[in-house]
Amino acid sequence: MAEAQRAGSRLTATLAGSRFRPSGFFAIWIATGTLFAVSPLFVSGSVDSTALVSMLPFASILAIAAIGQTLVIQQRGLDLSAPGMITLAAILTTKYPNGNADKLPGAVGLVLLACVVTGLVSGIAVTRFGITPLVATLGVNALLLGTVYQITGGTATWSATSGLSSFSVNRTAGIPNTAIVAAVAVLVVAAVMRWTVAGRRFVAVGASPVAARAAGIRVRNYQVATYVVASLAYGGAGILLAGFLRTPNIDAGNSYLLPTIAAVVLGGTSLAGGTGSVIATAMGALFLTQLEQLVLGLGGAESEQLIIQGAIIALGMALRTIPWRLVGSRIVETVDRIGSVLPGTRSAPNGSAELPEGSDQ
Amino acid sequence: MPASRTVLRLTNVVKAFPGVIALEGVSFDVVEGEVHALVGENGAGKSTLMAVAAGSTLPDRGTVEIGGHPMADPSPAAAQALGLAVVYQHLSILEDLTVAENMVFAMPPQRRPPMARAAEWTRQQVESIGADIDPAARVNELSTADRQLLEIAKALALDAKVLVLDEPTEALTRVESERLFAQIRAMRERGTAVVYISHRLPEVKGIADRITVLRDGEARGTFDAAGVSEDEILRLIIGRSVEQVFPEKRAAVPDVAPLLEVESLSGGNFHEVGLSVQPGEIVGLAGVEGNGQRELMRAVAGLEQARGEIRLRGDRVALGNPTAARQSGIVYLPGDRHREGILLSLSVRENVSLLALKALSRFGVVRSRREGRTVAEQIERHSIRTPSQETPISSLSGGNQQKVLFARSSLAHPAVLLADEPTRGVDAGARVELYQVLRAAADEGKAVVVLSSDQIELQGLCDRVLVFSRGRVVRTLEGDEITEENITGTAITTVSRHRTEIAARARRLLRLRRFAAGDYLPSIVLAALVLALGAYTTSVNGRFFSDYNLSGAGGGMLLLGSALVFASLGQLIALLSAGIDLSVGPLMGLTVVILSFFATAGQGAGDLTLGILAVIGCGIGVGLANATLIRVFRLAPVIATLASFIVIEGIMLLARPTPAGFYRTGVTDALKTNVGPVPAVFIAAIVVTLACEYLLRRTRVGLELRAVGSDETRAHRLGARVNTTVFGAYVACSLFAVAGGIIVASFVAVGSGDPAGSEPYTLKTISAVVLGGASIFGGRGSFLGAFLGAALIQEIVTASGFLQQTTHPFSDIPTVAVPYWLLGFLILVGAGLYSRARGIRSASLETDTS
Repeated sequence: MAEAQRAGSRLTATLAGSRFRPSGFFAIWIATGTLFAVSPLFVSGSVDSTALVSMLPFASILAIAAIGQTLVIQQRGLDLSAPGMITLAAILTTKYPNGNADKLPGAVGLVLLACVVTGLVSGIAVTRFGITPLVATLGVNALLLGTVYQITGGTATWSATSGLSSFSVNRTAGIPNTAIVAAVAVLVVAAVMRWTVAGRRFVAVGASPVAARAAGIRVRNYQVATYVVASLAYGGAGILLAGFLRTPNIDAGNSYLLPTIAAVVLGGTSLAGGTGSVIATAMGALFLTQLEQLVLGLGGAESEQLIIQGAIIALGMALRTIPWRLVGSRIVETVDRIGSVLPGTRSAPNGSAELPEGSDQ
Repeated sequence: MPASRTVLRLTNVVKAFPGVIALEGVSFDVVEGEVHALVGENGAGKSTLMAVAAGSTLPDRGTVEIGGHPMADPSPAAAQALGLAVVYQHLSILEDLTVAENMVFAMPPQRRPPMARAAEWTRQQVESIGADIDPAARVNELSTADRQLLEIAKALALDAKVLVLDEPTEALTRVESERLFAQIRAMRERGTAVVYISHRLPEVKGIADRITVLRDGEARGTFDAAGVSEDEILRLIIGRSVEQVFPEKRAAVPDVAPLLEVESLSGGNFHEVGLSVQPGEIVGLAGVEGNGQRELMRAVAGLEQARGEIRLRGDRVALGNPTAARQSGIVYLPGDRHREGILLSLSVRENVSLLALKALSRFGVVRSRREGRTVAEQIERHSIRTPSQETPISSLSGGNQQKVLFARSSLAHPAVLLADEPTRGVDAGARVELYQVLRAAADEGKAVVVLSSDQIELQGLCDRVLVFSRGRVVRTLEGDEITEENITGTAITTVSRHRTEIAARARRLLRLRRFAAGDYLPSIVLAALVLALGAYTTSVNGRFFSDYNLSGAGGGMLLLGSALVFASLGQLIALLSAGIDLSVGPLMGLTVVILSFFATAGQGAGDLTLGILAVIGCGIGVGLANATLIRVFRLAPVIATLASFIVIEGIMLLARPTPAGFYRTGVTDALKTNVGPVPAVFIAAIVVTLACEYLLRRTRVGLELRAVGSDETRAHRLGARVNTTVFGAYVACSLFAVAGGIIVASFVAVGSGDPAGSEPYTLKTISAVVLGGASIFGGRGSFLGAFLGAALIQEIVTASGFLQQTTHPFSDIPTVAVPYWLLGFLILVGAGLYSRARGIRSASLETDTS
């Protein structure tokens, strides 16, 4: 009985104050876990290794691109330049080598250069010229698409080098290489955000640029760096995509704008800036891709898949507006109350009274 | 005088906020023809009590009666209808509207002048209080004092039974204050009851008939103003003697070198200011709001540009650079805690350790355990009441939030501590603790500078007080000279003349800037660009302005442009409401698909009517769905319309997996009817644009849309129907998209579920309205601008086709890239110029997100 009481208090304490925030980045883990758990019930073999191995590259490339979108959204922006950057990266990676493996490193260097320049243009437009991120990246995206047309003349027929293709398609120890790259990239970014001085300041700048400035943080540097790193994420996704598609067309990146945003918001990063989680975003990307595979596996057409995807985004986000913290504390109160009427136990002393009622007022 | 009647009666009002009880059973009454002052410290509950009276805050318990009628269903509109008007301390002015629009918007229907007479009526109202404010000025151009005067004029125009004035003289000069007092006395003669909230006791004694004192959410007594002394009131306000609240001052003046030296520092609002602070000293900055004292303090913190010299221990500190100031040991405690102080979405731990991250880290990695220990020490030392380190700071009370900021700055080990309004919005208990912290910091050998609008605080806390006027230090008070009377007296007598000078100078500049910052400059620029691009393209290829290209059989440029115009008008409505609609493009595609089931060969006019009704119904449905997700489920507009974007594309594919349902030519020809060389739909687009522009500028509906988009909370407080407005905006937006879709149908002429054709319209409409000068934050924009933006985009697309057929005169680059480059370039340059002209220094520092 005493254990039950202690467990109750522990739960109370956990809900009241630890890093565990039920309405935050945790929901997507439950959602994704549930999705994988029920997938076999609908389509047999939908989570066996063949299915997973064919699904993971799509999820991974999306997750890498969505890292960039997460960072920009953490800085209160929305990045519409992702499709242009992904396409440009894919085109640069294929056109210059045109199958010649020796020229691939040069092409990758060119991609990185393009990413840095693009990020600087967006970042400076936002910080120095006071242009809203949405508008600035809308303009930059048009510039990138123009550049793609300029380079290709309207159609792209170049193939990725065989080395790049096989890297994008092959596996290491049974795991697709793209998934390994995505996991490493996501974990590195997450670790930097969480544990380094630069990452913590980045979060502060996103939470309130004016407060960060008053605290002496070089706000503009962090904001410009955000767009540069975001562009590098799109560029990385573009390179892998080029290898995966072998012959990327000039609209290769177009289908990536909305899914990156969807992955971020499903992951739980707030559009109001500040806190965000690239790991949760990666789970969001995994969730979206598996959902797509499941619906297609059910024999559903693309149409049904889109309708379900849209409905899930609306529903998932609407569920987030319920004040789960309060619901959680109610549950704990009930547990405590039940505990207190059981013989030999008393209510946990550190009840949930500290939780402000109606704190969203 | 007839027997006085009670016109406002509050009974046993109780109100608790998270972490703090604001009102504990307060009763308060006001009779006809009296000025009843409500006094108390910041955080005593004055503003909350009046918010309850005004219906903008719901009490937990207690009743409100206005004019003898109980307020059954409290709301700002209900209180106003019963005859109560409020001039708020935190102003309820809508920044994106003009002075006249603000005045008219605040009026109930029976007092509203027709929009055509609004300017003249506004001028009369403003002049009646002796102010001089241009009715056509946009509010964000006004000085703090003018805004305050506008608020007062607004409340007086309501001709209320009860008028509540919340700190009305905070930003006014003595002359302006005297004018206001004359107005108040005149109203009292007419029988109006006035509630006068202030912490300036001499002023209160002069104007009030009765005085009620509030402290810590409880009424401490009501007195006849004539029969009570200032000292007695003061004692009731702070609850004990001054000596008990404030820590002991520095004993003697030691002869040591100053720690902080400011020498002839000048900036936007202050001139040639000198200041030197010794270690162990607390120096106060005083003055009427807006006389340069705050800007000076911010300049020392590096947050304002300045010329001159700042030295710390003899070393020069770089100016205008907050990072340099911070690194040299100057730490600033912001006055606007919510905006510049706390990181609202983060935890107590993250807020406390912000300035100590480097000290807590090794090789750039923060050592979590050390951080936890350090933060725990600070929570203990500053007795911050929080459930845990990980609690979001937003759930703490104001006093505890302020203690977090104190803890943050003490971890930075400052040499100089600049505290801007350190006790604003802090309850009395916490306030005493904060005074002790400030004194302890000085005793440790820091130089402390305190800026406060509370003279009692300066008197009790400071070793020296500098009084500012017109951006200069006009008097330095030391020792026993530091009294409330001396501070207030010096500050108020010296400021009168200068405001009128500044106003006149500013007004001349404003005329020019107002046009540059206005809603129509983008339209003029766009019109010029449309003509220039047309002329250039014609010079390269003469057929550009041919009938065939404008309105030829293939669906000319004007027809294509009309579709984009209609959709852009819709997008602008969404943007004006402070939203955005991504689903515009797919909805246009869906319109083409739905119509394809009703307009094929073999179907008649009846079917077509049915089809039109179907797409209209569909538009209304999409609009309602978007607005429901946004208003009811509180989704961000981007996410809500992203979800409907995806769903609509799914429905399109479901309905027409492969292209089918060819339109009969009768239908498409009807849509392509020309009037001369111009398609009828293009003329319709012009007419609709002008009609929308008229609605936006000249009608209540347009005003309400801009008000809600400008600031939802304030608009609601002024009686706007926020939900109705936003629902209306999204339905209207979808209907415009449907209209655009119908035009697209005329040249696509087949139902296709492939979204590739319609998707780009979303970004094109956003580009068009942004080029047209609309603000992405809502409240500002012009339909004319949206029209021209859409026209320019269509022209660029069409022109590029023409330019491609010829060799490019400048080089041999394939011109297929040009329209994209041109568009991207225009968006960046346009948006950059507009934001410059409007004086937004940097959108990246914008904190205004919902």
